[in-house]
Amino acid sequence: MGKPTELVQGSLDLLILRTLQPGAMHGWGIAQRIHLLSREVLQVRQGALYPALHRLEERGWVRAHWGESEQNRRARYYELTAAGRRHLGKEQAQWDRLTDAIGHVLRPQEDQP
Amino acid sequence: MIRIFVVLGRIFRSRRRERDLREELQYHLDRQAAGADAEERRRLAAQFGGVEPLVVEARQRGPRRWLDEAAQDLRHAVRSWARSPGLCLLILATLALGIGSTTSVFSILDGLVYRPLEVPRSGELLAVAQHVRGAARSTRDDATYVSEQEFQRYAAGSASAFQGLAAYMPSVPASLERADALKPLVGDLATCNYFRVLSARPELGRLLAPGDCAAGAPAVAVLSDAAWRKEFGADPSLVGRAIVLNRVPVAVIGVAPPGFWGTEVSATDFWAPVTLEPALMPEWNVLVDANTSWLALLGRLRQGVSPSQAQAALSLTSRQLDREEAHRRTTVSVSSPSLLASPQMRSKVLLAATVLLIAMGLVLLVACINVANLLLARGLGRQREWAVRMALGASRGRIVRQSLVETMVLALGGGAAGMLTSRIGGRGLIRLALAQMPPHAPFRVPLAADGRTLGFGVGVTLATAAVCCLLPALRSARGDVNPKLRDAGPGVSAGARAHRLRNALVAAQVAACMVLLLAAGVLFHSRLRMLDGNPGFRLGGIASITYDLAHAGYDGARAAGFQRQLRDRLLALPGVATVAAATTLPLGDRHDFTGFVAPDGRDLSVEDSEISPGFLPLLDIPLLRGRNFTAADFGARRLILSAAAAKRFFPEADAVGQSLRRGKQLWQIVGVAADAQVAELGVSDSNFVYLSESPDGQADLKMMVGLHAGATIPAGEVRATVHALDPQLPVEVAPLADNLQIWRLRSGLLSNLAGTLGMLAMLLAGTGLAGLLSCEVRARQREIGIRVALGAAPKQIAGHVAGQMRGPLGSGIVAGLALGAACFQVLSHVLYGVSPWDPATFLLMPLLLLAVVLFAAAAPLRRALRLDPVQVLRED
Repeated sequence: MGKPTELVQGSLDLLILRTLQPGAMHGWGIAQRIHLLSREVLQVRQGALYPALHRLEERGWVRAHWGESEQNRRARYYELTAAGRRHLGKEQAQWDRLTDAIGHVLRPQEDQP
Repeated sequence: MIRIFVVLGRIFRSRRRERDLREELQYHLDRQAAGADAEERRRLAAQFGGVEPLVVEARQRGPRRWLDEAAQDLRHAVRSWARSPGLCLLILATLALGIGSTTSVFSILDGLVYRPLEVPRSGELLAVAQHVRGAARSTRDDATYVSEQEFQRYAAGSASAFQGLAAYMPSVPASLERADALKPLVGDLATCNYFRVLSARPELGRLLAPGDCAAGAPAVAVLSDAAWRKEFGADPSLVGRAIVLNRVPVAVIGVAPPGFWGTEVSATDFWAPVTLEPALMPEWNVLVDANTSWLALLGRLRQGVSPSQAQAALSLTSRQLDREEAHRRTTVSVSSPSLLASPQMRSKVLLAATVLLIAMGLVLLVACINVANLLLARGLGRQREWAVRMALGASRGRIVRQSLVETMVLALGGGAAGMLTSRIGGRGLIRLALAQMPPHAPFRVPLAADGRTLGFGVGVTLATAAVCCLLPALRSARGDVNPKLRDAGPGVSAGARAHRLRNALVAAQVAACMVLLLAAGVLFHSRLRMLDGNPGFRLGGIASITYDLAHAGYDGARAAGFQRQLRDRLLALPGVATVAAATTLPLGDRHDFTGFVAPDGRDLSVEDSEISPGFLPLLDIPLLRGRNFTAADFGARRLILSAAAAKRFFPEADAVGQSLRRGKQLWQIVGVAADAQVAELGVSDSNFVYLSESPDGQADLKMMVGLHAGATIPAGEVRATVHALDPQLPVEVAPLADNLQIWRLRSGLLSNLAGTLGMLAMLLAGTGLAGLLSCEVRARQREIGIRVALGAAPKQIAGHVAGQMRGPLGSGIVAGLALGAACFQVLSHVLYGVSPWDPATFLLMPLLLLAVVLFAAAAPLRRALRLDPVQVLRED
């Protein structure tokens, strides 16, 4: 495993929300999923993950409940709320616009006819 | 209470959240470690950084952090005060006394002026005052009252605004006939809807009903619960029986409920219909007089009617009244009724209370500044503690907050203690005031804490806390850490900024002290003048004989007979040279005001007294023009004006031979007498008018006897003479000079109060300055030691240390003098023979203050001079 790439500021929230879109998941699972989906480029550190999860919970974008894990242990599961889903949609659109814009700036010649 | 649960719930929830977080993180850690070997596991754990830091971080984001720190600050504050209990107690006591005394004065003001009457739905009640100008009017009690005829007009004209408009004459003196003697009572003469307007229900029998005011209705009265218990032993069979008031049999129809106090400051013993006035008070006979102010107005508004709508309705009536009488201009004002609803009384009490509150506020300010200085000195001593804590990472805000909490704890503790003291203090003050009043005036002020007193107390406490605490707290966290750590030894002196702040505090303290001392000085000087003053008439060798035929039920003819016989018999007594009679004795407590109108329409309210021809010669009051009354003037409506009244009525012309109009009567002026302070001590130019004796005034006359030189007052013989004519009549025989006592008592009370406050302020300022100087000396021990070692003379050292106080002391005294000069006008009406800007006081008091300050400074200065340089330098 190489040195994990630093996440763009503020993008962790978006990643977590996106990861939770298919269904409820516990913190460890979220970290693994992000790791896998990013083709093992992004690694979310625990010290950032849990504060972020609690922040999202406080804002009402995710809610948490205790559930049974795959290994029959108590684990805390997080899932999107309706507000969280709406927020995700907005954030995703914004992110697309942003990356598009950054792409144009970085490779301007492709825009030339 | 609910807030406490919310906070507890938050703490509880946050505990559970921490537990959850720990479990969640542990799960993560275990999953991560699952596939790894021992080496990898250790590496992961190290990378993770453990569970606890995350928990702590979560905690700091939560609401508990604030709570935790506040609790820490509180604990710290209590601990740090417990280390210096003496200082803590001193500050607490100072604040408790200061806050307590100001709040108790305010609670009395509140009870008198602001608190609504204690009757159901008092918010609907409205007190109505009438102000008449341009018309000749007589006044009983209060110029804003109305006559019965005016009341009827107002009631009819404002029926759409009021559910009921009632009128009453408060504080009517009456005597209740008991088997052995006459017992003085105080009652109200009220219109028969009085109790309905106040929504009172009877405790026994019934209250006044409209039928009781009808023409020819039997004489009835309602007793107060207190009078029923005190005078009649709570006898339930009293209802329906007759009692005798002012020699008139009156049937008791009911007893008012225990909580019902009426609408006046003085307790009311009975309520009788207003229509009984001619029977109960034959010598007044104001019921038929449309031009006498004698009834107070009180109404209950209809639902949805605003006070200004009611005022508009009343004004319609007042304008109608104006149209019916030439030159009359009437205005009507309304206010929410309290025990002092009359605007005149209100403004008097407000003025007195404001002056007193300002004086007490000044003492409180001096005390606060002492506390602030103590805390500042303590803060300087703790600079090293603050510096260490800041070096260890405490934020500046945190340190300011902690020292704020430390002092706030004290201030709030002082405030709470002050609120408790104010309850006791308020009662004490009322008792003190009562001790200065005639003994048969029961008097009550509701003192139970209400929103306003509580708000006032909290406001004073917060202001106190701000003065005491904020400055030292801000000081404590100012400046760099490093220099403080490096040289915060005992040898360093405070920075220039601390000096400026402290000097400003000292100047404010001295100024406050100066104002109080000046007030005390002026009042004391006026008292000295009063003690040896000459009121402008003879006081020695005269005895006053006071009795009250009116309240003993005499009518005019019977009273005239009594007076004639008494006069003759008194003249026959040994030692008696002359006898004179008057309705108002010189400097007595009775004051009659009448409106007179000059031929050119100029109208003045004057104080008057009917006098017998012997009155002026007996008192050695010289006649300036015209002649004295003679026996032929009896009932002939003749006047002798005081010089001041003559000048005001006839600034250009000679008064003698002219006439003045009172109502529809013309009174002819036969003479002008020299001004004398017969009405009010210290006021020689009051509008005083002497009236010739009339048949109507006979029941009000009192006697004075002039004694032969060297004769003592034949008090026993005089009493026997009176009782030979009427065995039941209460009579008092006293030297006329005793009348001065009432005035002296009042001035004594005032000057004692001002003196006490002034002394207290001076004491506080003196100890504060002494403390400050000794702190200064201690802080500069090393410097002084070096100076002495280098050969400085003691005089130079003393000059150096004391020199720092010179500036603030001087500016404080000057500011105090300026402040006193600017606002002592308010004292002018309680001063006798002294200007409010009395030069002697303004010269002597600064000297006194200087002397006290020097005395206070002496001890610390001596300590500075006695410092042994070797020892001081070795100590470091």
